[in-house]
Order: sequence, then structure tokens, then C-alpha cells
Amino acid sequence: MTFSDFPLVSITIFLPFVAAALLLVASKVNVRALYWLSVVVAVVNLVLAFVLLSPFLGGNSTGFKWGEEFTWVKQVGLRYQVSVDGISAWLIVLAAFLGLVAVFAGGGVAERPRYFWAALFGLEGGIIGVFASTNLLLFYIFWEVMLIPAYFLISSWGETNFRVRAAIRFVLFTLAGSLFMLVGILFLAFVTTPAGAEFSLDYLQVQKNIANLSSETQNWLFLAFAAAFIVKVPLVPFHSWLPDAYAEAPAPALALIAGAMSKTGAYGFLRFGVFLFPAAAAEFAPWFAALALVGIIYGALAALGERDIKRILAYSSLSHMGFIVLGIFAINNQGVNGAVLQMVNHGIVTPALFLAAAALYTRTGTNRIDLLGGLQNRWPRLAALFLVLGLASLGLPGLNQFAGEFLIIGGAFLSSPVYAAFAVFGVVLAAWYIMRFFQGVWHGPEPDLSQINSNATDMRQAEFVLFVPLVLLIVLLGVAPSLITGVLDPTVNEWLRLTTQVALGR
Amino acid sequence: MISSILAQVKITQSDLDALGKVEWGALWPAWLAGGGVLIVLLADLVLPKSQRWLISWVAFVVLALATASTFWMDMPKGTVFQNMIAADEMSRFLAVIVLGVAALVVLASPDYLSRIGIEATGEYYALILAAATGMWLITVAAHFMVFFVALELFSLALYILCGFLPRSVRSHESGFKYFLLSSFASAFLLYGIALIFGATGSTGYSQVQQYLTTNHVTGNNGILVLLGLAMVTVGFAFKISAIPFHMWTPDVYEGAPTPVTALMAVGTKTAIVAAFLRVYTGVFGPIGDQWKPIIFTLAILTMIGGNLLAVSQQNIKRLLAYSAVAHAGYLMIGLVADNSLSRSGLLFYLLGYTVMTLGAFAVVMAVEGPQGENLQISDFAGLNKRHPWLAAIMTICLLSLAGIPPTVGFFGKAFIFGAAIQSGGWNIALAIVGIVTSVIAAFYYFRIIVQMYAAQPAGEPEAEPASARAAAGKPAPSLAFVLFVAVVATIGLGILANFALDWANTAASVIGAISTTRGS
Repeated sequence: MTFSDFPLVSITIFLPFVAAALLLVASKVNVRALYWLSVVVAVVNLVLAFVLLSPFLGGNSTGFKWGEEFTWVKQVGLRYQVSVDGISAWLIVLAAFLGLVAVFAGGGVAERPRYFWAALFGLEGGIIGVFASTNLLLFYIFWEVMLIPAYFLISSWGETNFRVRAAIRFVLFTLAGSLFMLVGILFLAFVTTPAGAEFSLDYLQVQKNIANLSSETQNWLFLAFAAAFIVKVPLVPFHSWLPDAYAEAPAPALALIAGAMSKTGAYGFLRFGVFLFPAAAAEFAPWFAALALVGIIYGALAALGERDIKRILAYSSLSHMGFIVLGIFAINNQGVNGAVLQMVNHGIVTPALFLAAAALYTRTGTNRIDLLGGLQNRWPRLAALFLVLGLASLGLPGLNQFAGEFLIIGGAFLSSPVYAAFAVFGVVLAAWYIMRFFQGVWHGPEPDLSQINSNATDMRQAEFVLFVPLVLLIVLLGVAPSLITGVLDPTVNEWLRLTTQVALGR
Repeated sequence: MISSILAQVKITQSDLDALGKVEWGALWPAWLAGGGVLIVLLADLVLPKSQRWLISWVAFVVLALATASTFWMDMPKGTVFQNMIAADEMSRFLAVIVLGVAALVVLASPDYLSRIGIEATGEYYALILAAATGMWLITVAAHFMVFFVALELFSLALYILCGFLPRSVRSHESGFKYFLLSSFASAFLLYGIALIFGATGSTGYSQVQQYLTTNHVTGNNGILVLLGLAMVTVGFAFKISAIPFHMWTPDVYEGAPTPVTALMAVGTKTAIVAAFLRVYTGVFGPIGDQWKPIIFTLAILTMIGGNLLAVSQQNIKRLLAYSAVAHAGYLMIGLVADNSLSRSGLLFYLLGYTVMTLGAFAVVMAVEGPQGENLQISDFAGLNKRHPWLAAIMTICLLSLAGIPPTVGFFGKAFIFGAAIQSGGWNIALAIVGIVTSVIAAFYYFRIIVQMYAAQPAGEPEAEPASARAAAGKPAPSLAFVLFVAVVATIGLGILANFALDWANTAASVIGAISTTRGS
């Protein structure tokens, strides 16, 4: 048995689930031991994810590598098929990395920590499963599996009394969107299978056969899939679950929810939207690009209007997700490359910001910037951390988000200069709300705050361990984005070439 | 002496020979469960009071044997007893569901009954056995007379069981309401059967089907057939509580003893749907154009209405009653879509619906207080703290009812909706309505989950809710076993959906085989 015979993709998907199950039943084990065991499992999973990525690192591998499959329910075309390509490999690495960050940062959870880590692992497994599925119904199954741990993370560990409503709203919004995708998937099973062949929802096969459908059918199917993704990303006007959910969820959970789970929506747009329905996607691209732009501007304006740090970050995240979707619907090399690069970048910066906000909250007891100010002298290192993260978020050259946004805006420009003009406006607004947020907390007069814990010290050792790697990654990917795009580029090119062929071939 | 008696009643030796050739072995489950009624009643007479607890075990063993007997059942494929009974794979499949459920309900009952304070239990178990016998017989009926007798057999048993709680007005109301309304529906059904008999000259399934295949439904006979079809449909819609024939369901479900409610929600529904699967897609198959629009409309009304009405319920049993109404809507999609996937999908859905609903009701039984009634959703507050396992089981069953993968409920919905999409045309609307209403359903199922995990019991934190069971009370071992079976099946039948669907497919193949390939 050689190394490549191991079912590595499945192990990467199911290791977190196994860890979650063990955590749920391990009531007799010492909690600290469980914590360090969880961290070890998360590290192992990250290593596994890098192993999955390794064949693509040379930059000359395209298409799917690795993978396992067996027939599950043949009557509806459901096969267990998992595999990775250059795009999903990076996103799996991201999810595994954020799983580690979340578990590590979640060590301090006071209430039922065992269950908290279990939910984190369940969410991580679901996200990796989504990225690795190459069967449409299996993709849907993992897509829904993500929902349950995310629900519990928000409803059971949310920060105010509003948490249950936020969690329910999140579940219902997501479910409403994704059930339309289920109809689309089932429909695909029955209409794209060639006469006489066994029902199949194999991604590659469906992709091949979809061109035989009438363009009207393709459009409807594309919209059914888009319904699921548009809620998950989310795009305005389907975003109203997001600010509440992000405001409620604890920071370690947000590392996975905002960092990785939101990327499943963008990934869905790319893999099961643009690559699966190239003709329909091209037809609707202006609409989705417009929605993305609305999201960019609206998110930025809403972030300007907010006083609550977590809500500012939530709206900022909404705005940045708009960039990613804009890049995808530019449907060209630069746009798509930039979008996937930005998924990874945003997946590092946003969790870091939420975790930093949580670190601030533990010291000040408030999330409201109008109650804060002038804290720079008190905790200079924390202020420096906020500055770096804020600059990364607003797209300062040399930090990672710049590269992604630059590529996306370039791609959008090639698609239509108007998109690029609006998108650049979004970048300007980002600079405004980030600096306003930064100044609100750290500059100006320090208000008389009774709840500030005057004994609170500057960043502690554990926080350094958490934030230093994140900051290093932000800088590293800022100066060398080709580490990622070098891997992505051949894969993206190949997919775009294939799908354009399919679109033109009908 | 004997020969003279035989001569008087005009029975000849050849009749006796024919009697020997009857395939008695095809009815093993009915012999056992029906005979069990007598055994239980006898046991009730002879056992001293201190050993009455044995009765429930007798009933359980009888039902378990009846379930198992299907596997050594003489299976001559096709119909037996002069074409009165269908002995095929579908009969076996349904025996496992209906009788298995009855066995589990029996297992869950003693704990409940002792808490309610019911002493004399012989007739309770005898009635459950009688109901189970009738439920299975109606699913194997191949003749409208057997169909009706079986229907009355289990209905009569259920009327009494619903009103079984001696000091509960709600229970009496439940039994009486069910009796009145159900009798009315039975009358419709019987009249419908009579009209069909008038038109076709037969009450055997195959003869009626033969008639409808060869004759067009026109002229006076056609009117008779359509009137009969309409009346049979009224009876059907009442029994599976399709909207607008559902009014009785919440009241009856709420008042009846919870194990009986579970038996009705699961057993009756399975039996009726399976029996009508034979009737509609088999007997009335040739006139599908006549009944499909009706069932289509009923399905849409039931899905929308059932789910919307469930949203505002505060009483857990009423909520589950409306949930049962809503699921009747999903089941009817399987009838209307009428292709090979829909039939096996329908049987699969019944299997899945059975285990997840039984699990939910078993949790309700475990949580219920000594009054045994009026358990509110708010009484589930903080259940996770008091009984983490109960909360986990309830969550899994509710997620399955809501159709979240990888539970059995998801696959049931996927197969049924898939079948509707596969049959195309307007049936796609059924799938879309089903999808949209599933979101509403998720809302009210999640309401319970929220209570269990996120909410504090009313009043002082950590205080016991007034009507809920004392915190110390763990479910009795037999009830725990039922919970275990239900939750393992809810997950296991999801993960092993292929095997369950294959079996359902074999079962449904008596009506039409499923295809895994796309026809040209």
C-alpha cells in the first residue's frame, strides 16, 4: 500500500467529526487534557490538509487529485465522491487552519467547553466536506451538516439574549436558500443523465451534460443553486441574518463562521455556479456583479454607521465578501484568481479582527466605540495589532488583502470598467470606516470608564501565540501572494478554458 | 354425525380439501397478533394482581414474534385466500413497520401507565394487539371487504384506547370525537366502496382494476365510479388527516394517552397510506387522471396548512399532531408522482417517518408529568441540563423530521421530492411547495430545540417546570430501549439509506419496479 492509497481526503473530512463525537461522550476526561488533545487533532488535520495541497504546489497540476468514491444511493445518483483540485485544496487548508485557530482560541470558553470544541470540530468537518465533495448531492449533505453546529455555536454560546433569535434567523435563511438548491440538484439527476445510463450527480459528468439542456432550463437551475449561495455569502438583500449572527457568535466560533463558512458560499458560486453553468452564469453575471457592488458599498456604509465593534466587523466582512463575488462574476482569469486568493486572505484577516475585538472586550467590557477612546497608551501592543489588522483589512499594499483586491478589481475592469469604478469606491470607504474604528478605540481622550479592568495587562503570552502567526501570514501573503496564485493559476485557467468550451460548444 | 351436519350446511368433501389448500402460512403475523389478543385477555384473568406486569411482556413478545414471523412467512407471491389477501414483499415490509411499531409502543407503555395510575392493563394491551392486527391486515388487503373490516378493526380498538384515561376529560373527549368523526368517514368510505361495486360488479382489487382498465369511465357507470372514488377519497383524506379533513387530529392526539397517540400517528398513518398506495396506484391506476388532481390539491393544502398551523402551537402533542398532518402532505406527493421512485420513496418515507416520530413521542412520554396531559413546549426548557440524552435524542428526531441530512428524514424527502421532479410537469410544483413548507417546519421544530438547549425553565433559574417530571426521574429501561431503537434507526437508516431503499424498492415492485437508469 503506497502513501497515495490512503483515503486521505476522507480522513481529513472525518477526523474532525470523530473528534467531535469523542468530545461529546468524553464526560469523564479532564477538560484541560481534552483541550490539548483537540489542539493536537486540529494540528494533525492542518498537516493532512497541507498534504492534500502538496501535489499542486509545483504549479503544474490541474483538475482533481486524490479522492475516494463509492456508491451510496444509486436511485438518485448519490455517490460518496470526494476529491480536491488546486482551488479546493487551498480552501481546505484555510478551513483546517481556522479550525486550529478556533479550537486554540476557544480554550477559554467557560460554559460547557467540551461541547463548544465539539461544535467547532463539527463545523470544520462540514466545511471541509463541502470543499471536497465532487458529487452534487453529497455537497448538499455537507452543506446542511454545517448548519447544525453553527446553529448551536450561535444559540448556545452567543453573547446576548438575542442569540437564539439570531441563530434561528441564520438557520431559516440558509435553509430557505439551500432547499432550492436541493430541488435543482434532484432535477439535474433526472434531466442530465443520458438515456439508458445510471443516474449520476458526479460533478464532472453533470458539467459535461449540462450543455445539452435548453438555455432556459440552465438559467432556472443556475438560479436555484444561486439561491443557496447568495444567502450563505451573503449578498445584499439576503444578508439580514449576518450582522446579528456575527454580533452574537463568540470570537472563536466566528473564526470558522466568518472565516471559512462564508467562503463555502463564494466557493459554491465558483464551482457550482460559474464552472457548472457557464452559459447561464455569463448571462446573469451583470446582475450578480451589480449585487456584489451593492453589497460592497452597502456593507461599507453600514459599517460607517455602526458603533458596535463586532457589527462594524460584520458589515466590513459583508463588504469584502462582495469583492470576492465580484471577482468570481468577472469570469476571467484575474477575477477568479483574485477571488480565491481573497477568500484565503479574508479568511485570515477577518478571524484575526474578531479575535482581537474579543481580546479588547475582555479588557474593556464593552464593544461600543463611542464608549472607548485613547487606550493606546494603556495597551500599546494591542493597539499595534489592531493597526496591522485594520490596515490589512482596508487593503494596504504589502499586506495580504491588497493583492486579492487588486486582482479582483483588475478582473472586474476587464469585464466592465464601471464595476471597477464602483469597487474602488468601496476600497475608499473601507479606509474611512477602518480608520474611524481604529481612532475611536485608540486615539482621543480616554473616557471615564468604570468597567475597564484597570488591572488588565497588554497582550499576554497566549495572545502572542495566537496573533503573531496570523500577522506573519498576513505580511507573508502580502509580499508573496504568488505562493497561492501560483498554485491557483493553472487550475483556474484550465477550468475557465473547459467551461468556455462547454458554453461555446452547445 | 359430522357428515350429516356437513350435508345440512352443504359443505362437501371437496370444500374441506380446498380448506387444506388455503395458504394459512401467509397470515402468520395476523394469527400471532390476533391470537395474542386472546392470550393477553386470558392472562389478565388468570394472573394474580401482583404478576399483572407480565401482561405487557406477553403482548410485547407476541408482537415481536409477529414481526419476526414475516421472515418465515410462507410467501407465495401474489394473492391468497381467494384473492382477498396480498402476500408479497410489501406485506412483509409493512408488517415490520406496523407490528414493530406496535411492539415498541407496548414496550413504552407500562412506565407511562403506571405514572398515570392505571391498574387494570389487560384490555389496554389486548386493544393494542387488535389495532396492530387491523393495521397490518389493511395493508395486505386485496379486496375492499377485507380492507373495510381491517379498517374497522383497528379503528374500534383506537376509539377505546383514545378514551382510556379514566379521570381525564380530554381523553374522553378525544375518544368520543374520534369515534363520531371517524365513523362518519368510514360511512363515506363504505358508501364509496358500494358505489364502485355497483359500477364494476366486484369488490376485489384485481377485478375492479381489470374493469377500469378495459372500460372507460363514461355514462352512468362512469358517474358511479367517480362518485365512489370521491367518497373513498374522503375516507382516505380523513384517516390520514389531510387538510381540510384534519380538524379532529390535534384534539384526538392531545387527549389520547401518549403511547396511543404515537401508535395512531405512526401505525395508523403507515397502514392507511400503504393500503391506499395499493388502492390508488394499483386499483385506481387506470383512472389516475381522475384522482391525481384531487390528491395533488389535498397535498398542497395539507403541506401548507399543516406546517402553518403547527407554528403557533404551544402544546407539544398538538404540535406533533400538526406535524403529522404536514407529513401526510409529503406522503401524498408520493401517491401523485406515481412513478417507480415515488412508490419505493413513499415506503421508505413511511419507514423513516415511523422511527423519527416514534422517537419524538417516546421523548414526550419520558418528559410527561403524572397528569399525562397538557405538556407545553416551554416544559422542555432546560431539558439539556436535566436529561442531556433525552434532549439529544429529541434533537436528532426533530432534525430528521425537519429533513436535515444525514438523517432518514432527509433521504425520505429527497426521494419523494425527487420522484415529483422526475415525474415532471405540474408535479414539480409539489416539490417546490414541499421545499418551501420545509423551511416553516424547520422553524417550529427548532423552537423545541431552542427550548431544550438555550432557554431556562420558567420562573427561577434551575427551577423545575411545574408540570414536568421530577428531575431525578430517568426513563424506565424499557422506554429507554424504545428511545435507543428510534434514534439509532433515525441515523442508521439515513446512512444506510441505500439498503433501506432497496428493500422498499423490492416491496414496491409489486406495483412497479424502480429504475436506477434514465429511460429513453
